Amino acid sequence: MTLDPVVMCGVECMKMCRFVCIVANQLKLETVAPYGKCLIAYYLRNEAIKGGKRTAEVIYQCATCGLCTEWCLPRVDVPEIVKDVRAKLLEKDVAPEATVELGERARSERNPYGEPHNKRLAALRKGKKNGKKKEGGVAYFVGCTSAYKQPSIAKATAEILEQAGDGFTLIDEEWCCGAPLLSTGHRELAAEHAKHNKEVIERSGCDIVVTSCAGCYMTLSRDYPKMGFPLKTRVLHLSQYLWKVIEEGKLEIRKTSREKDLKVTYHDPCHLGRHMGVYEEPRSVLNSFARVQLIEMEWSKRNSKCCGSGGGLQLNFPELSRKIGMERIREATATGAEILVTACPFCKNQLEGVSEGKIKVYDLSEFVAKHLKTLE
Amino acid sequence: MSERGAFWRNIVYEEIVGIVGQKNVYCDEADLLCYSRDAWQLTVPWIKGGGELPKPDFIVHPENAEQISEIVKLANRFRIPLIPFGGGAGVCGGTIPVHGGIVVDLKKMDRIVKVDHKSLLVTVQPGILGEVLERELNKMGYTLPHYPASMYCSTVGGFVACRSAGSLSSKYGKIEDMVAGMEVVIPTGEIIRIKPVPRSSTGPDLKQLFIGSEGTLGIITEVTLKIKHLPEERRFKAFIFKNLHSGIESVIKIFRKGVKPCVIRLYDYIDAQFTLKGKAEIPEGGSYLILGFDGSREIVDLEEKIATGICLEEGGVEVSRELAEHWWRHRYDMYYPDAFRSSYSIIADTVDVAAPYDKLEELYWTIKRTVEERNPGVTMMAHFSHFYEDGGSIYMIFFTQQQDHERAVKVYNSVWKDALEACLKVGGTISHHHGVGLVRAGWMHKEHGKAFDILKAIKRALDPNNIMNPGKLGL
Ligand SMILES: Cc1cc2nc3c(=O)[nH]c(=O)nc-3n(C[C@H](O)[C@H](O)[C@H](O)COP(=O)(O)OP(=O)(O)OC[C@H]3O[C@@H](n4cnc5c(N)ncnc54)[C@H](O)[C@@H]3O)c2cc1C
Ligand code: SF4
Ligand code: SF4
Repeated sequence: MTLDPVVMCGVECMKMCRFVCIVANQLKLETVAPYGKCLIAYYLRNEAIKGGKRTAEVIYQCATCGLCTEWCLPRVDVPEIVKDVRAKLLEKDVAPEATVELGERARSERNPYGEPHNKRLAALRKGKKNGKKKEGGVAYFVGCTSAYKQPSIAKATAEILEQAGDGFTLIDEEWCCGAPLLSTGHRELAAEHAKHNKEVIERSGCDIVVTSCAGCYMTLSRDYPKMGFPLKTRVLHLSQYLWKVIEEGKLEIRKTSREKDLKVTYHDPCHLGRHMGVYEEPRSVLNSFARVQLIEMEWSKRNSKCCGSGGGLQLNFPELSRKIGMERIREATATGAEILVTACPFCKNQLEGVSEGKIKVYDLSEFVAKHLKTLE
Repeated sequence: MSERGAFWRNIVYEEIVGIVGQKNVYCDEADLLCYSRDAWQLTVPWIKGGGELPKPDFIVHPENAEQISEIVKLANRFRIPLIPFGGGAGVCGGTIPVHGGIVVDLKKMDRIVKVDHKSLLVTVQPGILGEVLERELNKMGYTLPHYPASMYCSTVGGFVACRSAGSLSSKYGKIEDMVAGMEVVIPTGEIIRIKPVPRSSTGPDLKQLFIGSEGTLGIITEVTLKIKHLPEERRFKAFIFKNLHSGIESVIKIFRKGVKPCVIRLYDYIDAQFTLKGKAEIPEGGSYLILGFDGSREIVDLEEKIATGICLEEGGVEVSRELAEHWWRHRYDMYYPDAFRSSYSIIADTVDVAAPYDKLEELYWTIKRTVEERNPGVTMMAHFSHFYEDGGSIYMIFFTQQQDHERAVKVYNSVWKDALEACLKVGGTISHHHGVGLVRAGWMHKEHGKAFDILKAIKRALDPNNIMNPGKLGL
């Protein structure tokens, strides 16, 4: 017989991953714990409950970080269950207001922030010498957060891509990858974005598309095929691309025998680490700098705790999201590191926002661009 | 309370909000449903069969003992049941709100209040999860040597309220041996403190009245626990015996020599096969013993040597210690849902009982035979999970596959009845560590005889309006 993960988790489980859920640990409430969400999913499916605004609130109080699945022997995919239920709640018109508005913004400006679409790549284009396409080269999928909220990441990434030798191409008419749409239940809209992006990325003629954002990387490479839009272009996250060019000797980081006097800790973005299994490349890039002493946080790699911004949490529940982020900052500072590096503009945006100056926060691109010349 | 209707509910709601603030009160159906159960296995076929569970009227999240005290006073005025709630991972229905009422979720009170490095005492609020506390203690080089399999989902308050037992109980005892002091909001709303002292000769030990009271005599709002330094070493050994008897005899002799293994687990033939999964040969009717030793290296060396000698003398065959280490690393695995239990109407549960050595084997055989004879299709297996100088506990596991959920519920109830009856006939206790809740509530008078009247009198004296977790503990 086929097993039913909703029943396994919501009805049968004895709450075995209870202590790792970042949301349940903030709200201290059974309803939002992984099994609580699945129990609600079960009752909703059986139409044993109506499912109003409060039900939706609970189902949206999940970062879709997947840490529970990591602590789950039968590996119940709680994020997928949650996303399924969200899609239904959105149809029922009970989803949080901010989620509904997100859809409206994405429909009109093709990004979740509602920023003007025509400004998306303007700054990057300006500084870029060759706007023309290069067959077989590297395309840079900038992503919404780098484009609008963290332009320094886009700039740093562009610089590194230039330095790595082959230059890069910007994608005409890039839209949001669809990650925030998928995770909040806007499935049809996400599919529209996937279809569009597949076309424009493939039209660029590049062999590789590099993303800054862990969410873009996951969506382009994992979710587009599931939605029926597999990309012919190879997708790499910047951390993977960087490690590749460093190994190939295309990006040189001078190594000296200096002391390891720069204490750095690394935050694994959920979308890059747990969801895509990319743990080593960003660490290898950081370790290429002779002075970097990489110190792991208590919860890292497979067990990394979410920054609190994913799964629409920052959008729908800013205060809760902030508290989760602050928890991660506490963990980072407890390592004694002076720098916190992550490999996702969305995580960086969140962590920087809640760091209160306690630790310097960089995206990997920024760290590399800044230190390529100054640090061996 | 539910039947008193919306008007009544509105009045009570406003009062609760006045005490804890609106953000700390929940009464939507989504929340009420999630608080209508614990990890009692009976709820599984019940829910799968479409059955409803009793819902509370409100869930509150107090932030301190004073707020709890106010809630208790309010509950007295309105005669509303209060159900203390920790992790909700109890397995006896202890948090199921059979009479509706207010669930008092204690997880917002989850701080480590104080660590006394000199006396090796830690004071915590009740809502801290076991694993969270242990990790924090480990960072300081300490441990609360209390490792129940519900570490990830249960709270310290729940441990204390249920008299729980961890895997290291043979050396370190159960939670009741670790509690040094506590603060309790009693059913009339007063906050009382029982100070932590090593020993005292000032009348009966009041701590022990609240330990195991399962929320019926008050709400525990702070606990001071005895902690230890992390052991220098923990080492395991594993042996196979030709039968259960020689396994138990070995354990008795180990204790008689003054050796105190931290882990002693003896599996019967069926359970051993599940546990060993073919990694070691076991003769039919044989048993499998896991021993663990911890402390300083010299002591571990010596204890291991003596215990090994005894096991070999009793005819035990030593098998790779890796098997025991594997158990230690995977000791929580059996509690996750799996394909076997998830298939249509399999129902499984554990009946934890205990007896002195003179009755221990008889207890095992009587329960097993009675249950299997009277309930065709039911298999009962066991491991003896906690041993002491004078006796031990048996973790009797039963499982059965039935045609439908309704049938599964029927068989479930029948097995429990037969198992507890058999236990009492032999003279064992009907629970070693899971507690009473609802599943054993009807058996308390048989367990205690006339002495149960004392407990009932205490309940009446402390909780005249019967607001504290009514129906649980048979009270
Ligand atoms: C997977 C799993 C494994 C388990 N393994 C073990 C084991 O190895 N050993 C063991 O002993 N038990 C075990 N149990 C049973 C259970 O976890 C324990 O009995 C535990 O003590 C319950 O704690 P909780 O916080 O979940 O309590 P809850 O389920 O929330 O409550 C249990 C009872 O205590 C009362 N209560 C809770 N907190 C307070 C408080 N602060 N003041 C007053 N009353 C309170 C409740 O009203 C209820 O009656 C296991 C359970 C599960 C699900
Ligand atoms: S995710 Fe897995 S471990 Fe967590 S509650 Fe669900 S089934 Fe249990
Ligand atoms: S995905 Fe993350 S936030 Fe969501 S239930 Fe699991 S652990 Fe909690």
